Amino acid sequence: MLKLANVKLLLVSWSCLAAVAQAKSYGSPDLDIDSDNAIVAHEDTLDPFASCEIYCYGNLLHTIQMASPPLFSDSKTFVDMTLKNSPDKTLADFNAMMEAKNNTPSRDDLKIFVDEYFGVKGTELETWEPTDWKENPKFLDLVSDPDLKQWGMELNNIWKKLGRKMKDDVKKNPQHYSIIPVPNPVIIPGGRFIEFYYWDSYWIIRGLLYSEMYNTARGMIENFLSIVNRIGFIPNGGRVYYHGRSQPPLLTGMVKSYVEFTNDDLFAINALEDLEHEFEYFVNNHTVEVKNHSLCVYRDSSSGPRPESYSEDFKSAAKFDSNDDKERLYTELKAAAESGMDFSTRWFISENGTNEGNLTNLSTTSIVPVDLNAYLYWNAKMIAEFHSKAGNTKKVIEYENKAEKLLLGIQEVLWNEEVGCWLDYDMKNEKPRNYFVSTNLSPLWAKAFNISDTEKISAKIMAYIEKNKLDTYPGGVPNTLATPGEQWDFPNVWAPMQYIVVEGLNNLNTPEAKNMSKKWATRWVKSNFKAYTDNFDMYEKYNAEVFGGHGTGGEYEVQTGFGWSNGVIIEWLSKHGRDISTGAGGGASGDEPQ
Amino acid sequence: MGGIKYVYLLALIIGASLLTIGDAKSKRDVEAELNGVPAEKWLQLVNSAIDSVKRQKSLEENLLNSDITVKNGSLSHVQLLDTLPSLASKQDSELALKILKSSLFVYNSECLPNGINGDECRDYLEQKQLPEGSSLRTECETLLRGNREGHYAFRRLQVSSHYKNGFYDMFPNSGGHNSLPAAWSISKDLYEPDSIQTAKQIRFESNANLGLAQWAQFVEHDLSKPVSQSMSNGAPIECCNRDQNNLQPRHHHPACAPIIYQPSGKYDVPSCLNYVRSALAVADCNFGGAEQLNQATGSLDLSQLYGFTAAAENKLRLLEGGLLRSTPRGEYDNALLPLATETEGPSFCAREKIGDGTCFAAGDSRVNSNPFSILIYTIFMRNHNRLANELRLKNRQWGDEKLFQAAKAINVDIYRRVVIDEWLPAVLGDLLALVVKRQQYTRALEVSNEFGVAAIRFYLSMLPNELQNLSKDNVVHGTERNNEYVLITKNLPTTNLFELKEEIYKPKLEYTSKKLNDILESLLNQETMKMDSAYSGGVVWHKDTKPTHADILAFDIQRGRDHGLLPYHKYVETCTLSRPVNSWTDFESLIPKDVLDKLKTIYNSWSDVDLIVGGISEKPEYGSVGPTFSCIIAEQFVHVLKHHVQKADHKHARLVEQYRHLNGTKLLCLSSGLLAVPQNIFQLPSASNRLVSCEDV
Repeated sequence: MLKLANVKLLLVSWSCLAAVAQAKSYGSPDLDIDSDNAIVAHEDTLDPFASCEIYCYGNLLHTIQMASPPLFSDSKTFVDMTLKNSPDKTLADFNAMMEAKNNTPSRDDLKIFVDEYFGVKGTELETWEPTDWKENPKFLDLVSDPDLKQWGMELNNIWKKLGRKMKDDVKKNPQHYSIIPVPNPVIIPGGRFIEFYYWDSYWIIRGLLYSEMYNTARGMIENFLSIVNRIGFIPNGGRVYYHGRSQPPLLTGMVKSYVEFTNDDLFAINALEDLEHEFEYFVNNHTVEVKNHSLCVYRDSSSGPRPESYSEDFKSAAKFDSNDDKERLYTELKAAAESGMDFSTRWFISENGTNEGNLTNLSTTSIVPVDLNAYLYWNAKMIAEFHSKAGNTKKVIEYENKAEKLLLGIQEVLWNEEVGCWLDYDMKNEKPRNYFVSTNLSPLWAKAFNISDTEKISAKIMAYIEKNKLDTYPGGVPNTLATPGEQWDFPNVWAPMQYIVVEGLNNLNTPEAKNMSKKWATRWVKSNFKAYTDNFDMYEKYNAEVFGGHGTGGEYEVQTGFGWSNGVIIEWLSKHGRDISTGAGGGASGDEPQ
Repeated sequence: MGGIKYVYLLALIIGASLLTIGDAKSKRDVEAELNGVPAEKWLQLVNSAIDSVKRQKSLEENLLNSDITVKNGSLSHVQLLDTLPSLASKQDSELALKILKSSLFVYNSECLPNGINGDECRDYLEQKQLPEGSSLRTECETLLRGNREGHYAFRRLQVSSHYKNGFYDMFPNSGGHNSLPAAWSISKDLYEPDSIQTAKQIRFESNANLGLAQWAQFVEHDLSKPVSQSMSNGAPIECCNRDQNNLQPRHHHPACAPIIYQPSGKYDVPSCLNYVRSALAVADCNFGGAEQLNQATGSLDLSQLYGFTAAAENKLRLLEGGLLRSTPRGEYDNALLPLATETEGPSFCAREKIGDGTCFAAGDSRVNSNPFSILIYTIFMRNHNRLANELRLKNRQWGDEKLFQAAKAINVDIYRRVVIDEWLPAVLGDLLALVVKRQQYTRALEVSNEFGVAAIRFYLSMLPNELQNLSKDNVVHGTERNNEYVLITKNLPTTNLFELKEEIYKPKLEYTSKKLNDILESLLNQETMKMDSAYSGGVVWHKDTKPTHADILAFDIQRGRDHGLLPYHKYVETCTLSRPVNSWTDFESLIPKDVLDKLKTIYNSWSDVDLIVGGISEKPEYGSVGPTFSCIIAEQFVHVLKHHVQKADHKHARLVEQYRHLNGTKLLCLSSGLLAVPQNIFQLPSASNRLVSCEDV
C-alpha cells in the first residue's frame, strides 16, 4: 500500500515537472537531474551520482585527462577506475598534491597519484555466467547450413563472456565507483564498453530472447526500470559520467520484445508506470517547436567535455575562443552521443548549410532527427497497447493521441515527397537535410506511417534505394554516404541500423521491399560470418565496401564482442537460417534470394 | 662449387614457371561463375570503385584542415625523402588505385560471397580487361600510350603476392589475432647493443670496407625507388601525431600503415613511426591485385645523378660546356654538388626551416640521406665535369649538348664497369658474378620487388654508427708526390668524422673538398659492420621512449609486407635449397645457430619469417651477403646486363672505348684529392690489396 501511494505522489510530481518542461522552448534543454529531479527527492537511497565530482567534472578530471603525453591510450580508462577513498578525501588530497607541486605536476607525479588513489578499471564488475544460459537454444534448429549452425552455437556461447555482475560493495559504497548500481546482472557490448549501454541493450535483449535466456533479459529490463524509477531517465550507459544524456529511447521496445517471447502481459502492465515516466521525461526535455509541430531533438544537460573522451573534446574545442562557444560544442558533442551516432556528418551543419566539415561543425541540437521521433511514436503506440491490455481506456486514448500528434509531425516536417523518403530537418537553415542516413528509413521499422499509403511509400523508397545505390555495397548498407573519417559515416555499417533498414523494408510488405529486405539480411549474415571466420570475432561495426570487413574511423579502434552485432545475427539466423548457405550462391549482392 | 651457384639462378627462373601451374579444375569453376557476371554489372562495380576513390577526398580535406600532413623537419619528412614521389608517379598511382579498388569491388561482390578466394579471383581478374566504354578504361589507355620512362611496376619473382585478401591487405591486419609479429617488435628483438656488435666484429674478418655499403646504396638509388602514396591534391600523408604517438582512427588515411610499438607498461602509450603504403603502378588495363611502382628504371644509367626525366636533367645542367651544375669551394670549381634552392629544399633535406644549413641537389631526393651518399654523388658529378672539360679541350667545335651527352655516356660506362666488374664480385663472390655476366636471357625484365625492397637493402646492416677519422692529417689535397704514404693500422687512436644519425637528410658537416677527402679515405679504410640481423643503434630505434630517428629495419619489414613479398622460406625453396622447407631445421645450413634461436622466439612459425629478416640473418658464403640475397641480386643483374645490351648507346661507342682503362681506383683518384687509393676499392688496403699512387694515374 505504501508503495502504491508513493507511486501516485511520483506521478503527480513528474506531471508537474512535465508541464514546466513542456513550456521550455528549443534552445534551453538545461535539465539538472541532481537538484531538480522530483523522483530522487522521494527516493530514500544514496545519491546515485555521488562519485560525479571525481568522474564527471572538475580539476582532478581535467588534470589527469589532459596529461601530456596522455596517461592512457584510451581516455575512457581513467573514468572507469575505482576509488580507493571517498571522493572528498580524494579531492582534498589531490588539491594538496597540486599545491605541493605548484599546480604544475609532472606526468610522473600524476602517475603516482593515480596509482595511490585509484584501482584497476572495471574491477567493480565480475564476469558472470548467466544462470539461464542454454546450450542448445531452439533457434539453432532453424539453421540448415552446418557452418552457420556452428557459428550460431558460438555466438550463443559469447553471452557467457559478456555477462557481468556488480560486486556487493558497489551497492554499499557507490561513491567509490563511476558505475551506476543496478540490481541484476547484465550483458555488456564488449571491448572498451565494459558496462551496460542503453540502446545497445535492445538488440542484446532480443538476442537473449532468441537464446531463451528470459531471466537475464528480464533482469536487464528491470535494471532500466529501476533506473527510471530512481532518476527519471536512462543515461547513455551505466556510468555516472553519462549523467547529462540518454540514448535513443528503446526501453518500451525491450518490454514489448519480452512480452512477444513470453506472453507475459502482466510484466508490461506492471512496467507501465516507469515506461510512461521515461516517455514523458524524455519528451519534456527534448521537445522543440518546428513548423507548428512539437518534435524531439537529441540534447545534453551537463557542462564540459565528455569525461570519457575528455582530451579529445578539449582539443576539438580549442578552435573556439570563448567559453560559451566551447560549451556549445561540448553540448553538441554530447547530444550527438545521445543519438548513439557519435559522430557523423549527420550532425554537421557547415556554414553553407551542408553536411560537410568536422566535429566543430556539430549542430546536433538544431537537427530534428527522423529516428528519435519515429521511436517516440512507436513508444506511445506500445504504451497505448499495454494500457489497452490493462483495460485503461483513458490512457489508451491519451497515448494514441500523443502518437497521432507525433505521426502528423513526422509526416509534415520529416517526410519529403520530392525525395521520396523521410529526411532530418535543419532548424538553423529551415530546410530538410537531403543526405542519405540509414535512419531516414527508420519510420518503416517503427511503422510511423499511414498503412493506407504503403504502396506509394514502397515505390518511393525503392526508388530512393536505387538512386542512392544502396544495393551496390557488398558489406551492407552504409550508415551515410559521406567520408569525413567519423565512425558513423561511410563506409561503416552498424548492425542496429542494418536491422532497422531490413526490418523496416519487411514491414512495407510489398514483394519488392520484402525481397530487398531478405537479400540484405542474407548478405549481412554471410558477411558477418566471413568476418568471424577470419579472426573469430564479432565487431561493433562493419565495412560496406568489404565483404567480411570490419569498420574503422572515429576516436577509438574497432571493438570486438559484440552485443548488438551478435543479437542481430542470432535473430536473423532464426528468421532466415533455413535459406542461407555459406557456400557458393545463396544471395550475396549479385543474386536474388531463393 | 660453381655448379651450386648455377642452381640458384636456374631454380629461380624455372621455379617461377613451376608455380604458375595451379589447380585446373577449380579454375574452370571460377571462370564459369565470373563469366556469368553481366556486362552492366562490371560497369557498376567500376563505378562504385570510382565513387569510393572520390569519397576519399573529403576525408583528405578533413585531414588537411586538422593539419594532419607531413611537417618539415619531422621524422616523417626524413622518411618521405626516401620515398618522394614525382608528379607522374602520383598520377599513375591514383589511376592504379581506381583499378585496384574496382578489382576489390569485384572480389567483395562477386568472388568472396561465392566462395572464390582471393588468389583465384585475382588470377581471373588479371586476364580480364577493364569494361569497354568505361571512363577508367579510356583513362588507362591514354596513360599507357603516353611517355612512360620509369613508373613501371616492380616485378614479382614468383607469380603470387602475399596479401591477406590476395589483392592488397597487409599482414598482419589491424585488430585481429594474427600471429605475425609487428615490424617494430621484430626490429627491437633483433637489436644488440653496439658494444656486443663491436665485440662480434672483432671475430669477423671480411676485409670489406665501407665503400661496399656506400656503392650498394648508390646502386639502390639507381635501380629502385618505391615511392609513397599521396593525397589526391599531392599533399604527403602522415600516419602519426606530432609526439610520435598513433593518431585517432578518424585521422587515419586509408594509405596509412604506421609502424606502431605498444610497450607493456600501464602508462605507456604506443609509439608511432610513419609508414605510408607505396604508390601503385598501372601495369596494363586489366583488373588485378596491387603492383608497386618503381620510379627508377632497370638499367644502370646514373639517373640518381642526372635525374629520372629530361626535364629534371635540364635543371641539373649548367647548359654550358656540357657541364653539370656544381658548387665551387676554394680553388676547386667542382668541389661540391649544387645546392638546393629554397623551393627545392624540402624535397632534398628534412629541415624545419627551409634554407637552414647545407642541402645538396641531385637527380634523386635521396642524395642527402647520409655523408656517404653525398660523397659518391659528388664523385660522379666531378667525373662528369672533368670528362666534359677534357672533351671540350680536344673538340673545340662541340657545343654544350654534344659535350654533355658524350661526357654522360662515358661517365655511365665507367660507373657500370665499376659496379659490374668490381662491386658485384665483392657482393656475390667472383664466381657468381661471373655466372651473372655469362647468363643469357632473352628479355630484359624490370626490377624485382625482392631486389628493390629487400636484397639490395642488405647494406644497411653494415653501416656503423660513426665514421672514424682514418685520414692522415699530413695528407694535403693536391700536394706533390708523397712516396712515404703508409697504411693506416687499426690500432691508431681515432676520432669520429661524424655520427650517422645526426646527418640523415640534415647535412650538418661543413662540406669542403678536404672534408670529402677525409670521408672517402676513412671509408676506404674502415671495415664494414658484419652483414647480419643486428643493425647499429643509429639506424634503428630499440628503446621504448619517443623515437627521435627512424627504425630502418622496421621500415624494411613493413615495406616488404606492403609490397606483398612472400615469406623468406618461399625464396629459400626456389632460390637456395631447391626443395621444400618444412621446419626451422631447413634454415640451419643458412643461418647461424644463435640468430636462428632468436628468430624462433620472435616468430611463431618458420613460415612467417619475413624475407628481409631471413636474408640479413644468413651467413655470407662467398661474397658479402648470404645465399638467398645473392640469388636475388644475381637474378636482378642478369636483367640489368640485358637492359644494357638492349639499350646500348652506339653513338658514343668509340669514345667510350677510349676510356675503358678507367677503373674504380682511377675514378676515385681522378675525382678526389686522395694521393693513393687501393687497387680494389671495396677492400681494406693490405699486402694483397696494395695502394696505387694517384700520381701514376
